[in-house]
Amino acid sequence: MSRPNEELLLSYIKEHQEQFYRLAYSYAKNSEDALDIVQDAVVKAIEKQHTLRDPGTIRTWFYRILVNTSIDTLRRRGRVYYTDALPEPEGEPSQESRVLDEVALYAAIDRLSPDVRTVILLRFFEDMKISEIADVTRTPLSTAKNRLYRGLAALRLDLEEGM
Amino acid sequence: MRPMLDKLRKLYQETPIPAELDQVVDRAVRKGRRRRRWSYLATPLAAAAAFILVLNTSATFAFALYDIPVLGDLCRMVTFREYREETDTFVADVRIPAVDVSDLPGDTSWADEMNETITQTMEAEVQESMDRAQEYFDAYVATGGDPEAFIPTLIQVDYEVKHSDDSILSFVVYKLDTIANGYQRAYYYNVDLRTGENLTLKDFLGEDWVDLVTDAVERQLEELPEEKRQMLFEGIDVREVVSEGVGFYLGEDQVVVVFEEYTLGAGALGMLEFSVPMP
Repeated sequence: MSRPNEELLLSYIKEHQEQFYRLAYSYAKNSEDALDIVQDAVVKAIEKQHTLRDPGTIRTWFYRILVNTSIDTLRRRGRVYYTDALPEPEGEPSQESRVLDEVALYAAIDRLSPDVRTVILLRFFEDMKISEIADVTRTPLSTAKNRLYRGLAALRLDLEEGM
Repeated sequence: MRPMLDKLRKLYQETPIPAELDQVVDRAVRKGRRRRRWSYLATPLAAAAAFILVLNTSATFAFALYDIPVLGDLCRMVTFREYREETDTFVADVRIPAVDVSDLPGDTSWADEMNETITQTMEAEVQESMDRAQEYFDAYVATGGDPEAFIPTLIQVDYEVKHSDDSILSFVVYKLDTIANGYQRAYYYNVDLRTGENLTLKDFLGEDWVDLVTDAVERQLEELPEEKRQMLFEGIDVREVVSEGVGFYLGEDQVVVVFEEYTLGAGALGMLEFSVPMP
């Protein structure tokens, strides 16, 4: 890749580093690992910049590296208890307890399996289209959609909110 | 209306950003760039070169290790000094050659002098680039630039053998400097192995060398693609530039003259090469 493209990549990275960190943090859940993830992803991106053939796809290209690095880090750490279902609220089932408040819901995202979580994070917090998400995760569109539905169902979110 | 989603987004946006993120990213950028450079060098030859790196401080030792007979048996081109130096302001990759004439019959004292000149010239070039990189860095910081975000200047010195036979050795030693266009330097050597004399265009092309070179260059400039022609300086007097002296190396039955950046046109044209057939 020629130098103008490297400059594009560098300015893209510097401009979005906080976004990268937030996404990394939502996988790692601690700042030390999140910083490591961002660092590794940036090193890889610079080193492998020739694999970015079309500068127009820089966002999905970079997020692919970032998401893969995040999931790898989780795997290496070996903390793997995921459930794509919410715990039943304890005690008397009341009207309120059936509806989770946002803090509980936000925490529930962390319990989703990495694949499902990735789709939820990218869709809700990075505003990506399903087609872009499929591109990031290198999965067929139908798989990405399926994971989104599973995530939404697990979080008991309205499908309408998701789309 | 997506109230829950908006609340979740707000939580996400509130993720505190640690102060060191900026530094972490800048360090990662530098690390990535270094690795990228090394991955380019991941060839067997480069691996061999890296092995030599620490060892060749003396010429004899370098010759012993680097005994690559690229030029037949009488004369060898060897890497005399090789090092890599890395600071916050620059990364220098330097390979300085020397001519090894130990098997060449006759008086070869000229070689020592020439090798000395090559080493001194290129070390001075490297020093100049390092100083300029430092000035550039200082100016960058003085104008409020973040030192951590500074991208070091790359300085490269290397050489290439262009032609060799029993009587003539033609090679180029060059320096590249990424700070800007116009900081490329190339030194051409076309050595008569019997006398050690550095041959000139006149020696190869005869008395009419200015005419021959000028004609060849003008003809080939005409043939440049339109987008390159547009970058040429207007009203350039090729004959004048040629008579002032131009670098060249030896090719197959021809000499190749090389114009440095900004001699004929905009820097984006880079160095321009033209072949001139030998009469």
